Amino acid sequence: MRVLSNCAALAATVLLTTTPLAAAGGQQQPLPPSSPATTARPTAASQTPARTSAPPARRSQPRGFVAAGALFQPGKSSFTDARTFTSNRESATQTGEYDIDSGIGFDLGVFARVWRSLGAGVSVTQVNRTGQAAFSASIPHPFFFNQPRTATTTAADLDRTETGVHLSAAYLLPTSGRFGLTLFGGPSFFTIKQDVISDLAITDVYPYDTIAIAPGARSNVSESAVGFHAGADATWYFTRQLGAGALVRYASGKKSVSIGSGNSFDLEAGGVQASIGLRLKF
Amino acid sequence: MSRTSLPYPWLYLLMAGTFAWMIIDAPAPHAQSRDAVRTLRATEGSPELLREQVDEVRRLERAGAMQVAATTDDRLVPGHRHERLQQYHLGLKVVGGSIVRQTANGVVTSLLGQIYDTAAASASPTLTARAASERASAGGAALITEPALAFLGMDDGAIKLVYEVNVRRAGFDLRTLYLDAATGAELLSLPLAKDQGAVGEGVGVLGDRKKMAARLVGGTYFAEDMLRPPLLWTIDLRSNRRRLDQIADGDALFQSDLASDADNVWTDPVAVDAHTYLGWTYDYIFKRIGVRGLDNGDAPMIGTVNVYSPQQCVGALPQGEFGELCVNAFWIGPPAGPGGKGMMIFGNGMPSNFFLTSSGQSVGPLAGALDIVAHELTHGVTDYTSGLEYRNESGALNEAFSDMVGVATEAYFQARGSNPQQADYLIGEDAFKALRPGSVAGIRSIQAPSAYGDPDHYSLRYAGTEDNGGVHTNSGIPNHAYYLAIEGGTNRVSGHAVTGVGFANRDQIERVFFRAFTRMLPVRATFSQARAATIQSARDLYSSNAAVERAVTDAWTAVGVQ
Repeated sequence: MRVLSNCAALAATVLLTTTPLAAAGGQQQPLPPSSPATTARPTAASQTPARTSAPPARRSQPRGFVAAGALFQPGKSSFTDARTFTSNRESATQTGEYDIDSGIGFDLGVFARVWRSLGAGVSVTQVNRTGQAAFSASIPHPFFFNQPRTATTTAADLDRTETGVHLSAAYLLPTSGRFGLTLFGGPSFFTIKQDVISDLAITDVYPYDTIAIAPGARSNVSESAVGFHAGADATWYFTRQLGAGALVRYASGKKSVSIGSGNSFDLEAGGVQASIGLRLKF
Repeated sequence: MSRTSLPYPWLYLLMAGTFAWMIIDAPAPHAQSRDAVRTLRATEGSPELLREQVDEVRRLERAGAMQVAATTDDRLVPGHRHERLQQYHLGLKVVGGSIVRQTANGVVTSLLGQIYDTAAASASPTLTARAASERASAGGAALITEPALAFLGMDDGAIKLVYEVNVRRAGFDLRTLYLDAATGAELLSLPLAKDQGAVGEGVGVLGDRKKMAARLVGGTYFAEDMLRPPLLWTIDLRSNRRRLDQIADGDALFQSDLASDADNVWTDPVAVDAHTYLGWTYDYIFKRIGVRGLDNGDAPMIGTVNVYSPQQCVGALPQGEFGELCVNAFWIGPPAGPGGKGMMIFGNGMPSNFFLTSSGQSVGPLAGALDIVAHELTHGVTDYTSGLEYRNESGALNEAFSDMVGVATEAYFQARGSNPQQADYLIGEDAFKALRPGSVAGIRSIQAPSAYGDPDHYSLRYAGTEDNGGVHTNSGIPNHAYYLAIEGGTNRVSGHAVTGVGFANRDQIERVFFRAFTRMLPVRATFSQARAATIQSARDLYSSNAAVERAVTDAWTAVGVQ
């Protein structure tokens, strides 16, 4: 949550600082309706030295746009929670293979032109995913060396929420008419909330030749990770300011989660993300 | 903001928040310390008090404020039962509120415990269970259980509403936490690892590394098996010969009588082997036969070591004690032993450079031989079941049955072979070693009894009165029948050939003989009755497999028992 609020503040800062800059560039003066950008193109008959000395009319480029859309993260991901500990005077292992399914969420962002076609942006994404895990355990026998007992079990409906704040350097391609294309990339900050099975319930009764395991307590691990992203946004404006856009982003972040006793596992966030939604030009 | 808004709204919010915080943080009425815990301490010595407190507890039971949580029958004093009652309030457990009630044939004889006054206690937590989870898992602790509401009896007698949660912290530190349900403060943290079963390890007499099922009490590990169902104790006499008499006479055991170790890496190989091999024998009988120990009711199993040190054994000892307490192992049945439950004693043998002049054998600690330990424990099984009288043919059957279980236990746990700690058909070969040229290892063979001077045919049986009518000699006859039923072969005397079930199917013969010898034989059984019982047992157990019955029948015929 701290990452989120910091980034929101940063986003606000970006907006506040880019607006005067853009205005100072003189590019934001709206042209009269009778002088669309396309009419600024000089005709052959007008190509006289006197005319060419006048500053060429510039195409109108927006200061930026706000994007809001539904996000789809198609890729599946996985991670392994492998724990080693001492039991019955030998080494015991407990392994959880988590498979996280694709997810959906939302994508909110703002991109603003800073200088010429270069700009900055910030996006907030959240993807909700669910997954399942397969567990195996190998527990040494209490009476004999080198006679571990093994067992497996599964757990389902393990929720994951990935919230990402993506700070972008953007290249807003100068395009004509209704079409807009933006390329962007930069650092990403993730907060990952992942349901994990923090302990297995082990049934181990005399004569201890077999064990049974079942998912025990479920806890929600919350970790922050830093990574990067890169992507592109294509927008078609069907009114002067409002359009529909599609965005593709690849984002990636990873955090090693310590679970005590020298054990840890890696939580990875991101992947290929696609979103479609509305664009509001300003 | 409309014009009708109050000025400085943040000020009102701040005041409201402060007021709410004061309410939440104020001590709840029930948290006030009060003289609210009753201590029950009534025994038969105070009959009036006992009667009064019995009535009080019964009233609480009727109201649901006390509930029986566990009942245990007293194994040492028949007819006695111990009940543990747990206090509840508003359906929640009152941690620390518990009573132990002993009854003798239904009559209460003692009542000990604490009851907390819960009248003012409320079961409404301020803290959510989720918040309690987060508090408990702070610092990376893993939750073993989800937080559950309970009342905690405090040392000052007050009770507090708490969340009870079990966690595992770094370093395999397992704990039960009691978090204040109002503030989340940790009121009590108890280690889950305490006076408990602990798996130790040690090196046995023959240098092999083994796991020891021990018990941790007050920082010391004792040879008390907490992992198997019966009481399994190994007593270390530490050469205190007089203490052996006291224990054998039925004196109560003290914790200090048990073999012990400071760090659970055991350094006395005799205690290691006696303790682990007793456990293994229990395991064999349980897993192979389905019988729970000595009496099929998990009667206590008590082994004793270190009566004399090997060096003491070659010194001056009272008459007969060298043969009885040094180079011997034996079972003494009820009513002897602690609590009158019987016990086993394993001699320590002699220093390795000494040998028995009679056999040319060196004798190591007898607890170091799995078949010897299993043999002695099986005498206990016989005592508790068929009670085969220890003389003449019934006595030889008694001895033979112990030998059979001895080799069967070896075969269950050890690889087949003729090296130390391998399964064979010799008895005691891991303790009695051939030292003098021409001597042999072990004290008997069920494969070739004649190699040890024992009969392998009924016609050769000893008819004298020595050794209670030759119980250790004539055991060779049923022993050999058992061997032939498994392995097959031709009897040396009769020339009768037997087709055995084979080593891989030996469990069939083991079950047949175990069932017959423990369930079917009378006290003064004869060899002929043993034949009839085992054949019937084979028929009962393996009616669809005639080979088993045929092997048993032919085996007895081969050794001349009709």
